[in-house]
Amino acid sequence: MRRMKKMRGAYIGEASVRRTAMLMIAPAMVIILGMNVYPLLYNVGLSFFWYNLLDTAKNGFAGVRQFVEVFTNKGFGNSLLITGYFAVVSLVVQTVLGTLIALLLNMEFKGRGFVRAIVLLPWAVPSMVNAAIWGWILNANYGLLNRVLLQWGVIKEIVVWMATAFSALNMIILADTWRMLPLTVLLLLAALQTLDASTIEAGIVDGANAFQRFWHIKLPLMKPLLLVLLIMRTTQTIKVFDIIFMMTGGGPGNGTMAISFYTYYAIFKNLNYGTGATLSVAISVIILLIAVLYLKVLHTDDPS
Amino acid sequence: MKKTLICLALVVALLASQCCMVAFAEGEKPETLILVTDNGCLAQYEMVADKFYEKYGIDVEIIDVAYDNMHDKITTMVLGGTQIDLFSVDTIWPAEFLSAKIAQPVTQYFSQEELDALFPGYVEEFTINGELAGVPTLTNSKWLFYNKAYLEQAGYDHAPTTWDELAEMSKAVVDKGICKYGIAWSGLQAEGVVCEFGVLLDSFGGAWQDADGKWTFNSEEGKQALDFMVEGAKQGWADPASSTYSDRVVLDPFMAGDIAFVLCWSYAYGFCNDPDNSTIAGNVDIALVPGANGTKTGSVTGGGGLGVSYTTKYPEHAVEFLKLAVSYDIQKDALESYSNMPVLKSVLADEELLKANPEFAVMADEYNYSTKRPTVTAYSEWSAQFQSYLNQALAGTMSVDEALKAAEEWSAKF
Repeated sequence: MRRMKKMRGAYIGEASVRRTAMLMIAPAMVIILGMNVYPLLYNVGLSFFWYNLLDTAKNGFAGVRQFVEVFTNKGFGNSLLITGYFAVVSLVVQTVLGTLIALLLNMEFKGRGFVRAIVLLPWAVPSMVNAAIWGWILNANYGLLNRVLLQWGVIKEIVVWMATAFSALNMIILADTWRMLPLTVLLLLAALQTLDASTIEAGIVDGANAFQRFWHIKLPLMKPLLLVLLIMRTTQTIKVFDIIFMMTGGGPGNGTMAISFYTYYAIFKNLNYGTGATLSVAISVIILLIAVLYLKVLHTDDPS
Repeated sequence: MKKTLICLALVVALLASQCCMVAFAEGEKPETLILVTDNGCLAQYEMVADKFYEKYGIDVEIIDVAYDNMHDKITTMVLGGTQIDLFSVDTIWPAEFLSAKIAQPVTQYFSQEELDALFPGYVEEFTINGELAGVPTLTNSKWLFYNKAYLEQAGYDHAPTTWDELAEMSKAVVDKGICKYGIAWSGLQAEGVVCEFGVLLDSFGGAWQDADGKWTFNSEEGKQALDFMVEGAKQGWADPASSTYSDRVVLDPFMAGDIAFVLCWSYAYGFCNDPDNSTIAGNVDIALVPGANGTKTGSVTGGGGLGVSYTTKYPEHAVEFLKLAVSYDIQKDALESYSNMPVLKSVLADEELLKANPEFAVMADEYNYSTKRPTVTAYSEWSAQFQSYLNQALAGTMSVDEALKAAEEWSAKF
């Protein structure tokens, strides 16, 4: 009987602790619900309504018609293509270069610590500052790039790098890569350093060359971190906004109008909140689908 | 005794009513009004705020943002319910701001006499279907700024009066190695390119729309205007990087001494003649925009004004700020101190002022020819795509005919 009381006492104590814990986290939960969950649900709800402040006659319930209108709009297709190109090229370039640099920095050499610090520096530059720096580097008349290329005789007259859509988009990728590559290097270097040395030594004993050791041993072992990196960077590249805002404003000829920038225009320039909400939902679904795809392709329970 | 009591009662009643009035006035009177503006108008509105405090004892807190962010700042604040009282209104926003209930109409606060004292074209820009979306507080237009030292070196003693003459002078300064190019355009995909095309369109004798509102810019004159902008770079006398210049950045090659001409707003005169900013300070002069097809000149109106927010609790006080902003002393001080052109006609009728500052006379003359940009409720949406076509023509990725045709088809939707 005494024991039961004791147990009962312990049970009451746990409940009390749980209640206290709930009370303690309640303010944070309220803030999260209010600042994240409510706006998210409100946005999803809004995506089913026509809500244009400059054309109020049409405002009202739209159902899926607004989605149909958005998806069949030429501008949406154009921005999706631009975003896709930006995401794919950025990810491929940054992952390949990042892996190569991480492999180099993982090797033993004198001054390795210093080189590692230098490589990480661009990541410390704020995105807006990075855009301003590259804006000047690429300036046709006074930019460093044209000056260097002219001096080396690579070009005979100035090149207006930001004049055409394709060139401008690639220049934005270059500027973004310069800033974000260190993050990729940092994460891949961390992954390389956690690899079991004996596994790699076993590869050497078995006669595997450097490429085989990388491809068959290191890369599979790095898969979990690579998955995190890809999901993180894919989301970031699909949401690209600040560097476009600063460098091109969506031009030339809407050639850098990525989907986030297109959404920004719908909401803040055109004051069409319904279309903006629909686009936001579409971006979220696209990112979710890509994340699921990555998980399916790359996720393994047993990396060995 | 009875009389004394009645007098006493009257005095008490009078005092009580006075106390009530004071309490009412104090209850209604704001301590602070909040104004959102951009750095271009900041100095002028600070001056108005000081006078406003002297006159009414009300502080005006000014939120200063970059012009490119101002539209979004105002719309998100007002539509999000933030209590602000006043904001800057660019000349292209009145229709949008009234329609979206961002600016409240102020028509009932202004008499016809007060409005007649202002330049009519600018009041018209703020009037949508008979409702005033605010009042213009400063006027602007684009003028031709030129480097007089370069023209002298090239053997010219006057500014060009026709576009053909400008092309000829541009070729001369390039051929003689005086500077890199004759002119650069504000060709970036931004509002500046619409203004730049507007200047050329008007000065070539074209028009945006006819009297019935039908789009007419894709005319012979419109094609000549855009073709003139495009061909200059091909022939080597206009800056090939023009498609990357905003209407502020286009001043960089001018102030660096790399070009001889530029089209810009009034502030460029003081800015480019300031040795802190410019390597050509002292050599910058101003002229009417050249003409073509028998047109003397042509330009686009700019400037802006102030609107009263839908979220203000003190519309009457906000309107008083508007009235003070267009008063004679403020308008004259803003012109003399900051080269901000007045909207009050009487200021530019001051002969002494014009004698001391001859450039003001040239500036005022352009107002007789400048036309406004199209009045479109969804102006931002219309302009964003329109800019894209003009920018592509300047970058050479679309022909002039293709760009104007696409722009015409797009405009037909508005």
